[in-house]
Amino acid sequence: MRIKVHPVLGPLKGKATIEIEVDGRRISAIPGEMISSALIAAGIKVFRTTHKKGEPRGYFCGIGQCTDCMMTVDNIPSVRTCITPVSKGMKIKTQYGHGKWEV
Amino acid sequence: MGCSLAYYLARKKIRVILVEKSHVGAEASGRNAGGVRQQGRNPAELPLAMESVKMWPSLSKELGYDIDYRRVGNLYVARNKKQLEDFKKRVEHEREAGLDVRMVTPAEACRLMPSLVKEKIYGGTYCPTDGVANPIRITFAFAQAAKALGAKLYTHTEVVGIELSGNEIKFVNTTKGKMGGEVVVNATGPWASVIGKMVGLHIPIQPKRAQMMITQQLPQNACAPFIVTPGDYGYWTQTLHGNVLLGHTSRPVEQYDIGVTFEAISFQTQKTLQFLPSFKKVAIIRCYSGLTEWTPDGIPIISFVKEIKGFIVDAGYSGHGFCIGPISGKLVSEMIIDGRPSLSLKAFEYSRFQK
Repeated sequence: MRIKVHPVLGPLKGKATIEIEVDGRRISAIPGEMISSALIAAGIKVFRTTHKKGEPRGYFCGIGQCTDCMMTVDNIPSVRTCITPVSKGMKIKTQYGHGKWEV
Repeated sequence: MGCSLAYYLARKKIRVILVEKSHVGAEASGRNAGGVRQQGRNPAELPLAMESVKMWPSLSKELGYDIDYRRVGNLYVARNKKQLEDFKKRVEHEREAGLDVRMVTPAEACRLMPSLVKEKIYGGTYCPTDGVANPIRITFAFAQAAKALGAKLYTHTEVVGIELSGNEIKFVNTTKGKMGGEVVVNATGPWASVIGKMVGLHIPIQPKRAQMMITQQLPQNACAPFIVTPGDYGYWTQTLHGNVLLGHTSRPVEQYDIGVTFEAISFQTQKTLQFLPSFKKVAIIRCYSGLTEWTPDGIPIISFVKEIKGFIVDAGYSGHGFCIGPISGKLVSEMIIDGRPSLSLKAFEYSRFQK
């Protein structure tokens, strides 16, 4: 899902010209957009599961405050995807709990 | 120290008044990294630390409050040959004293702490019975348990003066009125020298500031044991909730200032990244400071003072008092009740600074 024409920001600029990888699956993204935007455009709603109860979490505040949208990005756990821009070939993983600590 | 002592006294049905300048655990007791550590101590403190570690596991149950105590082990890491040699001598002594501590190779150290870089380290020492606890919780737990046993707790109450009659304490003046008792214990950490002045004593204790940083929550193996490396590098430990605490070694400070400085943040992050490069990807979410209190020889003063009747100094833990908090409270309570602590406190006499 993408907003094609935004009442304040106007029409959508840029084209989905790059690819990123989410749990092994390739999706397209617009250069400069946030990871979470690309995921929502691709229909992905569950970004992580909670540490204690394993409940699903996804996009919530959109401004980097709530940490609900954290995922493991290029092996870095707990990256806030709503304020992190996409880059070509980025590898994103659904995060379970606090994720894995890879050195 | 004050809360622990209040609890052990109240348990023996002694009437206790606990005066806190601010709230419980507002100072060093609630601001430290929570390391329950035996290895790497001054030999005089080792018996106290070892006895205290026997007490820690049952405190949650005894005090009726979860203090997050976990035996995660403590790993000292050598970054050069000289440090490794020093470690060998220390471990020999500690093993003689009965501590379960051993040398580890760089590979073993990396297995215990995957974020270490094998090529950059020379080895280390590991003490499996060392651990961590939540400093805010334990201080609160002691205070609440003491209160439940009848101790009177005055928070946000400052001691403003002590009135003497000869060498006896008539009463302690506080912002909530006059208080007194047969014994007055000065367990005021870095302020011990200020309280000392009120009775005309020079207590050689100086404050130093230690700054801490907290990372975002990380997987539990990010910093499994409590990590220490000598010199100015600091220490690292992980809380039950996954945040890693980065501790900074103490620096002298004027006026009991516990602000945070950019200089300390910058220094500490640089040292951390040299030592643990994988922390580059980690976000720091908060930082805070606390005061440690230092004696000239780096070990505490736990003793009666012959100049003033019934006056005890219980301070000067020099940045490593957390682990021995429980045993210290117990021993001082024994010192007060029957004059004979079950472990010798001879090394901690106030009189050693009067020579």
